[in-house]
Amino acid sequence: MKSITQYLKKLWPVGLAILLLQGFSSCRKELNYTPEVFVSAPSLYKDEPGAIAGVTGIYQQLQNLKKSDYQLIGVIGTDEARCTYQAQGYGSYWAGVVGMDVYDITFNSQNSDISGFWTDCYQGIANANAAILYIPQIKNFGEPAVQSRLMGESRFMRALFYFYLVQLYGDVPMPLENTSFANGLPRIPQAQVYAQIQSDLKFAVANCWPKSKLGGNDVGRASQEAAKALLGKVYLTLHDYANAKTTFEDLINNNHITLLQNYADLFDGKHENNAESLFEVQFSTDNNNDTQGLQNLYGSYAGPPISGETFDQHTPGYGGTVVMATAFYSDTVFSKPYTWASQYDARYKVSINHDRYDGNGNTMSWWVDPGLPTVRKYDISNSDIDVYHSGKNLYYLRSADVFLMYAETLNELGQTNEALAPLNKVRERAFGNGSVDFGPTDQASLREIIMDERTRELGAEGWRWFDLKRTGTLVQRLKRYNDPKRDFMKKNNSTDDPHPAQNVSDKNYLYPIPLSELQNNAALGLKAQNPGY
Amino acid sequence: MRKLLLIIVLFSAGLLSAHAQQRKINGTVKDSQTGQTLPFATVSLENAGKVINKFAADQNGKFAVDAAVGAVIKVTFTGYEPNKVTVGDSTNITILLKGNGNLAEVVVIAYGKEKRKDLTSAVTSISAQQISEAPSTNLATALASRAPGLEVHSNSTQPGASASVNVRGLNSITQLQGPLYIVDGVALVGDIRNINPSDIESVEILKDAAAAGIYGSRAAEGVILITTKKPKAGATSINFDMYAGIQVNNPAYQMLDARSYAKMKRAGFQDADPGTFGAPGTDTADYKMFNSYELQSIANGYTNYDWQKAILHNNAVTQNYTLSVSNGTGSNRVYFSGQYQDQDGTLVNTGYKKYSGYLSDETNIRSFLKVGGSVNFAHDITHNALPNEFQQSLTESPLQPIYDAGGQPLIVVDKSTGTPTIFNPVTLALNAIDLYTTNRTNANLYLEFTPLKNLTFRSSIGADIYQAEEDKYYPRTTGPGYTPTNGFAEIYNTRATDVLWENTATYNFTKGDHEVNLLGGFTFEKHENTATDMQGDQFPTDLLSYKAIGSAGQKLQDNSNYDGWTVRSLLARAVYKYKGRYILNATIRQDGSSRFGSNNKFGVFPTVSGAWRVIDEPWMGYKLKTWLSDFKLRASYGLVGNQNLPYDAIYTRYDAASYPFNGSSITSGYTAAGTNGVFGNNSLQWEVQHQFNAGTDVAVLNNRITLSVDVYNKNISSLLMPLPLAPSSGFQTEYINVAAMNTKGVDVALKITPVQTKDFTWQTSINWSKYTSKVTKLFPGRDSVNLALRVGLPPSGTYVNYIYDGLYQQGDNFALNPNGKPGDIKIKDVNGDGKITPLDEVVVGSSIPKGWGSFWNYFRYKNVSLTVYSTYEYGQKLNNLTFTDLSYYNSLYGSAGNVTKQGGNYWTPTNTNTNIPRPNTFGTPLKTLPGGVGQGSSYSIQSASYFKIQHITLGYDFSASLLSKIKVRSMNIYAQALNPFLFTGYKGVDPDIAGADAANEVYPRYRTFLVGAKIGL
Repeated sequence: MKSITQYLKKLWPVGLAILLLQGFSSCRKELNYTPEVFVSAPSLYKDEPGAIAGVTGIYQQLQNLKKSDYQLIGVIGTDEARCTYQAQGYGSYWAGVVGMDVYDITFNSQNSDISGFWTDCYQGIANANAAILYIPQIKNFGEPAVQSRLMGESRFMRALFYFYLVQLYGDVPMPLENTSFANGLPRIPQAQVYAQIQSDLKFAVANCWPKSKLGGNDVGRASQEAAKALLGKVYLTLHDYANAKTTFEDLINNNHITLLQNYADLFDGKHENNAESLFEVQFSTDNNNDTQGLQNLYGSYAGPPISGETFDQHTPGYGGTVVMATAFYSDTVFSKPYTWASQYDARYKVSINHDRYDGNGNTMSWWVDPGLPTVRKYDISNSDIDVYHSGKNLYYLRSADVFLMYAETLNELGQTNEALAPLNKVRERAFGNGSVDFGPTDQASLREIIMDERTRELGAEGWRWFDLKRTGTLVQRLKRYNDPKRDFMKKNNSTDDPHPAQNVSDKNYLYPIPLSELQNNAALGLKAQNPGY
Repeated sequence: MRKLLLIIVLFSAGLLSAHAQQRKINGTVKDSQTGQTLPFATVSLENAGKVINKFAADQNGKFAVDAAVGAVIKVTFTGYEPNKVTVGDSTNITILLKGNGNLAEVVVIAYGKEKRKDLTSAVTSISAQQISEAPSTNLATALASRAPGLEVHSNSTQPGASASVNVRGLNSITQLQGPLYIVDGVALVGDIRNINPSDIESVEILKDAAAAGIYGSRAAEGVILITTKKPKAGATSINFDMYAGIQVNNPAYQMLDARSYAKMKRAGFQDADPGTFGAPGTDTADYKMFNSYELQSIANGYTNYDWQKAILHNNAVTQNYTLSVSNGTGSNRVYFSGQYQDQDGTLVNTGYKKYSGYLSDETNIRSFLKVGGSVNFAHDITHNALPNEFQQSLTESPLQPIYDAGGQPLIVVDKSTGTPTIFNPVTLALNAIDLYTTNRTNANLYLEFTPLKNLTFRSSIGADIYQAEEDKYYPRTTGPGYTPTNGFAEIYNTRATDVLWENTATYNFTKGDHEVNLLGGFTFEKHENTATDMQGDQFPTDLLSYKAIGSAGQKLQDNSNYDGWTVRSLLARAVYKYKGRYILNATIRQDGSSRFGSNNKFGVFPTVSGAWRVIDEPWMGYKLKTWLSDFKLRASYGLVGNQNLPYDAIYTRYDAASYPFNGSSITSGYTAAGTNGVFGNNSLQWEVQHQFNAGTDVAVLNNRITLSVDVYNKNISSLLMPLPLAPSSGFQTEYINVAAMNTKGVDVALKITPVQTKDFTWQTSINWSKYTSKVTKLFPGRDSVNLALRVGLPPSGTYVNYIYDGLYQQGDNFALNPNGKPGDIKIKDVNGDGKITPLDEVVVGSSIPKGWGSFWNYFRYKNVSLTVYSTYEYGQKLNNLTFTDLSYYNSLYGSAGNVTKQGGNYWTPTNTNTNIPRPNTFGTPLKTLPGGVGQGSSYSIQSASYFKIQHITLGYDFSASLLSKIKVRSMNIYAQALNPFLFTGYKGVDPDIAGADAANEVYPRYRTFLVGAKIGL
């Protein structure tokens, strides 16, 4: 017993040292411990499912951009739609939204929608940048075609976001990878941004799959058709008509894009991702992927009247109406060139909600500009909805837009007569026959006709501000057609209307750079603002 | 038997001599513990009780004197117990003196113990006696102001409320988590309310870097060491402590009666719209302002309903029982205890219950091997007050009946819409459930191996497992559960576990005048938090409540969260003492944390400190030492880290995202830069504090007066701050180490024993502390984040708001507030631009006190003792939104409900000399307060200085002679008043409550009267 004790007494330091060092070294490994609540880019992009999950996140950023007030950018402050006269009184927040419509003092760098749109676009870009960096590094990707397709989708999405930014804000910071931002990001000249967009889209044309190949759960992904259509739109925007023509003809002839037979089917919520659709923002009633907010904004929820009830959730306008059609969109444009045209134009009753009723069938004169028509395209009463959810998709690009852009391209190239065919193709679908086709005319008149036709066909779908900017007609058409004061006072025989006057001017061809960007971007500073703001 | 007070060494055996024989005695005076000689002790030679000679020993503690056999040599030395020897045959004697009072006191320090006199750093001990002086449901509140520099505020007056604890001011801008608690070497998570104060031996507050730095990165906000009771060697005892008492409401708010309320309400309506509501001062249009029940009350001559009384529970009982057993005999020593505590709330259906048990055991297996461990388990249940419950009872119309004819709480339902217009706070109190239950196990096991006399290895593993569950149910009779919600339930579960493994070796040696203590070791800690949350509504009935959350028709939330980190550390300490007068202490700790990126995981935190025991210098004359008992100087400097950054700050985080391809089939994915938006910074480093502390300990008149003063200066650099990123990055923030701040302050502790006689003792102790904190640097090129967080201001606690500039009077210029009327609040146009805009907001106050502390007084006459403990704080301000709410009848700001009696003195055209605005039924932020709802102005900023008697305790100790007859070792009975008096100008429940400024979160104020007994067997 004693000898054992002595033995132990001699060897204990060795044993202890071994034990402790063992414990100590294993603790060192424990320092690489990470909480597994979320993933980081390197851990996400390591296989095919990870790449799919990361690209899914980019799409969600687009959805975020299109399901809130930011969706109004491109729609309001145009000749098609305007804020209701009361919207400004809903509170300071809505005064900011009204500012985007009337270009008053709240159309400034602190406007939360102007800065929110900017921020959301860049969040989408940050996600796309990570995907573009990491996807090519994935080895042993299950299906190489999917790997290149996901790259194509990512670059399509990045182009989409930059295309918004460059049109709205002009020269913009252009991060193409996510590195430290400590030194800030300078504003890049528009031409360079457009060059990047073209490069991304050309890549997308080459790598995205055609619609025909996208089935099942891949329906709704950016397709080759979408990439070509967007590339064509970019050329058109740059007035590069030659390239626009080539691109549109390639799309029309090689991808065989078509129109749906019935215009009404486009917006009934039952024909999503249809043959005419080139790229849609997907929504569903699950997981907050819904567009319910939009029916609030547009006051479009025209559920069936419930007798004996007033102002409940089934009442049109329940929840508020912020945006409605201008008199131009709801009346004038459909009465061109013939005053009777609206009643035969299938697009009219799909686009415009002319009358509003309460549960007793009486015309509403509540807090929406009394009796004035609203936009109907966001009506969700016929689609997969309940009062809190709407899964109705939104169009980003559809074939009718392509035909009208093609017509515009040909007209600008001086091929005015050739432009009539694609224009009348759209028109014939609306009227069911060629009886109201446009005949040959001069280039300037056709330019005006195409702009009107775009409203009739694509009204309130989000492209109008960009159309007006492209054609340099923003100030002119707004002064002519978007005057809520006049609309309101005419309807009410009123002389007293506090709605802001129209303040649109040439400076509004660019949005202000958000103040938070100027303050926090070391490469910018307050003086880097767009002129006039 | 080394613990004998006196050892007399006799070198020669002599014969007892009957006659007085003078002989020369050579004596030496030494410290009984260290054996070191004590210079200049006072020596007196007495014979038959008379002092014959009195002189001082020399600087080597030696003296020589002629004395007769039988004479007595008495030696006194400051800081030591006097001692005497009778002269016998020996001519060489050594007189050993035992240190007394503070000097001999042993305090617990990081990884060990140290004599108080040898401390080099700022450490304050709080004894078991002080902690158990007054009952508390939370150990933290028992520490309030017991140590200078320690700031403790209960978060509510509600039983079982948590507390917020600060050691020496503000220590970070964003990463505040409170001090690190170490219980018997085990790190404790969150608060410390689960520990039974009766089980505590002592609490040590480690305040400076030198004391706390060896805990490295977790010590940034100070360390609180809690030592639990261990069995006393060689003794067996049983202790039983109990108290029981009642809590008596002490209303903080007196509300208007029915008649005054009606008058005010009419004024509010008529002032706004006399056309609709009648001429001011009339009651012609009452039917437009009051509901049918109120009109009935008016018709009955203003029947008054006391809503406050309806939900108050007067004379609520509080009680507590602890039984502990300690057995220190034999090689296995054990201590265990059990506690039951039950405090009913003074708001009906609220209260706190605790069941806890504690077991500690230590066994000597061999002379060189010892194992031990302890387990503390606590189960506690808090019945929380429901949000707004008390607030609503205060503001409810006194004309409104509380119960219907059937005796049920009355809920008024608008028949046309079917929705209730008045919910009843009584139903909320009686029917809604908010239950908070925690289970906590705190355990450790250790092994001590002493292969050599001076060398000890210790390995200990400890765990703290904390599980909490909050259950809520709002039935249909309450606002949150009413149709169409049809009952709302929530179950929220959290669990925190902390495992700590520590291995240390200590080695001590003494050679001549040199004494060295060495410590080295490594530790590993792993921490994990989890949380799950379930919410649902649409219950078929209210019968089953949250217990059957599965029956919810609609699932609102099912979420989980997870967080964790690991830290592994190397630590070392060396203490060197020379001649017991010069003490040098150096520590170093290297921490590696999982919270930092791969290149920055490790941080090194060295500290150095020293003490100079001036009193022990040979050149201190003995005459000086007749009144100066102790004099010591201390200084320390060191680094302490902080790793409390958000656990995901180094990662660019991808959160769950989904996209419904095909318009319906959800594809799940991940997205970065979403709502979280943190751009990961892999190069983040530790936040580092550079702490300097200088202190002195002085005692005079044989320790009758002791004073400790410490000054400190903390420069905190590379502070972790979220840098707002440009949106074009796609991200919102990136954590960076750039900001810096400074905190400096003074801690003073003074103890006096004014009277000490055989029968009567009076002791008093006074604490005073203050600090100032300010941000010295923020982001590159930016010195402000917002008005309240900028360079030069404290990092938190600053109120920024508009300046209240009195009330508008008739004839005033209303240019600043075109919609205003006489009697409205006037806001100062600070920048003089003729408009009230956010630019007119300025700093209007700070919640940081200019100073705070406590007074403790203890009187004892024979067996009767009286203790009075009071605390104070001054110079701080609070944004008392509750007061504004309760004094200002306004539909927007507040609830257009009843107001306090002070609020009844509102502005009218004939009552203009008041600060209470006119009743404003249709208020808008523009017309009233530009800060808007819930923001207020400097109108709400009130001085929160206070002086508070925490408790008065009258005790009686039964005499030993009586106790021996009934075979009881000790028995004390006492009567106590808790919170008997509060002196303050603050108009609220209690300025001592953390977050006292939050409107609507009030709980009643009350006093507690109790009797208790402490019995020892």
